[in-house]
This record gives sequence, C-alpha cells and structure tokens, in this order.
Amino acid sequence: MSSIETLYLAFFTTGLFVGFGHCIGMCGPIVVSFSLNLKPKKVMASNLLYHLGRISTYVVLGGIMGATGTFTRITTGIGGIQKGVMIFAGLVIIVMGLGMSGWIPMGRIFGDYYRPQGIISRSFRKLSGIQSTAAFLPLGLLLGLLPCGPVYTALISAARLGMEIQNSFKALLAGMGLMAAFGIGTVPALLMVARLTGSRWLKSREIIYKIGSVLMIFVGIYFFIKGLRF
Amino acid sequence: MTEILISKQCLVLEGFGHWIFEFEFYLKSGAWNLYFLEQYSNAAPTISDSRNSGQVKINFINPFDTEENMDHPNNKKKPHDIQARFQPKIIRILSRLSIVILFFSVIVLPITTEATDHAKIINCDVHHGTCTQSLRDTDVILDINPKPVKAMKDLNFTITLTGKQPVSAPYIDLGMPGMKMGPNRVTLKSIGKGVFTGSGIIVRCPSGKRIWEAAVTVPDIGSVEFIFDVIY
Repeated sequence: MSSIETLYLAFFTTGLFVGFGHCIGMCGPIVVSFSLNLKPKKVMASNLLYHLGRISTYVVLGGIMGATGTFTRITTGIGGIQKGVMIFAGLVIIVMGLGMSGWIPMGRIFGDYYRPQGIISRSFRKLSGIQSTAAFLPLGLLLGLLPCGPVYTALISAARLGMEIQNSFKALLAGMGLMAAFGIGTVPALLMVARLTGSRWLKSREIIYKIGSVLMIFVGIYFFIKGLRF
Repeated sequence: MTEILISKQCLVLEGFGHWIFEFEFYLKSGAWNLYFLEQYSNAAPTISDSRNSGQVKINFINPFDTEENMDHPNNKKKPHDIQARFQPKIIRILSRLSIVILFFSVIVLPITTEATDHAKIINCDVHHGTCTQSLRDTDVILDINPKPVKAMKDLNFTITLTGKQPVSAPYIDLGMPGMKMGPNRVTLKSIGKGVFTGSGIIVRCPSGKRIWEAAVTVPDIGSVEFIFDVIY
C-alpha cells in the first residue's frame, strides 16, 4: 500500500471516528431536521443524496487545496460564503422546526394569509416542506461549505499533501481523494442518526415529534447566532 | 363522507374558513401530512392533487359532522385549538417542560460550562511569551508566533529542549480537549542544538470553543500537553 493510500485509509478511519463523535453533535441536528420532515421511505435516499452533495463539495475543496498547496488563503477567501451558509442553515432549521411543530401559523405571521402565492409564503412553504428527494443533492452541495473543525483539519492535510507532491494534477487528485475518503468515513454515523430519526416508531410518538421540532428551533437559533459571530 | 375542493387561490371554504391556509400549508409541505384528518376521522382521507387545475380534492369523513359537534362552537375553531382540545394534558405539559430543558441544555449550559472549563484547564499563555513544562530530565519550551495566536492563520511553532536531547525531532499534535478534530500534526525540523521549528495551523471550531492543546511528543522521552486559548 502506497503512502497516499495509507493516508486515504487513515482519513477514512478519521472520518468514521469523527463521525460518531463530532459530526453527530455538530451536523446531527441538520440531519435530524431533514429526516423528521421526510416520509420514512424517503429518508435513506434523501440522506444519501445529501451526503453525496456534501462529499462532492469536500472533494472540490480538497482538490483546490491539493493543487494550490495553500489552506489559509482559500479558507479566508470562502470565509464570507461559509458564514452565509451557516446563517442559511440556521434559518432553514428554524423554519422547518416551526413548520413541523404547527404551533405557529406562519401564514399570518408573515403577513400573507390572504396571499398564499406571495413570495414569502411560497418560500417558507418550500423551506419547511423540503420533500423532494432530488432537492437534497444541491442542499448537500451547499451545506458542504458549512464551517467544520474536522473538515478544516482534513483540508490542511490535503494542502500539505499538495505541497509534497510536485505535479499539480497529481496533487489535485490526491487532495480530492483524501477529502472523499474523509467524507465517506463520516457518512455511517449520520446515516444511523437519519435512520433512527426517520423510523416510523419515532414519528408515531407525538411527544418525540414535538420535542424534535422544539430542538430543531433551538439548534437553528444556535446555528444562526454562531453564523453571525463566525 | 365529505368532499372538499381546495382552490390554491381561494382560501375561503365553508366549515373550515379561516384556517384553510394552514391546512393547505401542511398538506403541501407534507410535514403534517393530513394530521388532522388522520387523527380525527375514522377513515384515511383520499387526496387528489390536480396541479393543472390548481385545486386539491380531498374526500374524508368530517369529524365535525356528528350530532355532538354539528352545533358546537368548536366547529369553527382554528386547527391548533382543535388539536389542543384533543391532546392529552400530559403531552402539553411535557412539551412545555421540554422547551425549558432544551433551552438550558442547548443555550445556557454550554456557555456556563465553557467559562468554567477555561479557568480550570489552561496551563499556558501563548499570547504573551513561551510556556515551559518538564518531561523527566528535559525542559520542553513551546513558543508560537506570530502573537497573539489566532486560528486559521499560518503559525510558526518552536520547541526548545534543554537537558537530555532526543534521538529524532519532536512533533506536535494539535487538537481540542474533549473534542476529536482529526489528526493535525506539526512536524518539526532542527535549526540548532535543542531547537526545533515547524509551521502549522490551528483551525477554528464553529462551536465557538477556543481552548486548544498542543501535545508535544519527544521521541524516546515522552510527551507533554500545553493547553491554551486562541483568538478567533
């Protein structure tokens, strides 16, 4: 096994460990938010597409880091976008939580009770009711940009790998491979969370459903505030 | 069996009136997925959504078409009121209690525990000078530049060893106490007797936690941990 393949394996393993520790705590709420809103039979497919999108973003970032061999310049460049994505994620989770709880009549709050086809009403209905499986791919692509400590750490390794490899194309591929290995490693833990959340048994318990929606709202606020401070 | 035809434009429907918007909202979002009808009807409703006509047709047994409810004022209540009437009291109490618990666990507790942890475990002030720890017969001195030490910046790490010298260069593993962030190793090169240097980056954790540790491993001698805070 070459040193690069060993590195891929190391980062796949890192992804696995980080997934069951860090990711469940940090990204778990996003997965829970999406999964609670889905019909049970759509949970796995939607989540797989979400992770495919997320890993694709990691791979692109890994490729850039590998090819350029720089980390700080690129992360500084995308810092504003990451801030926006974090705020957006917070808002999406809040809206999904509000929509799911049913406690707040959003039509009236957003002032278009008499205009159901108004842009605000339509946007919030779309956000709170993301049901289309295909929609989870672009969502994953976007949320792959969420600032995340372990992802940064993996990207640093991709940049270092790029610095060690003289050929830019090989460095790009190495960076992409490393991030793909890391990203794939994080999937099992988050899929497990999605599977648990999407189970019919859980969804049939109204109290759990309600607590879930409250949790979503708080987590959304948490993301939103962290995004503003980022 | 009752049949209703919901126009996506016209919201007024006799018998359901002012809450039909929410009904349509739930219907379209699928979040509640005909919660009310499933909950209060004895038979599952059938739905046909004709997108071209812009109408949704629903057939169901109206739970309010009973003798008891026909003249009942609740017949014209909002869905949330109806839901509340049917919801067991214990669920309502637990729901409200959960809000308080979750608020404290998600927002308040992390802030307070983080503040307490700060004072407890930091053993190095990297912003104002070097930090020293003893490792058997060797003193390990850590210096990080530029100061103040900020996350997401290229940093220069210098380790100075006094006393017994190692067989090979030491290295530094960067991480957060209690939070696995993945391997982030700073490899060091010797630039003089007992002085080793290398570059690395401390990443930013979106959780806002700022405590980091640098575990310095000196081959054949052992390892020490420097715990410090960084600026985001």
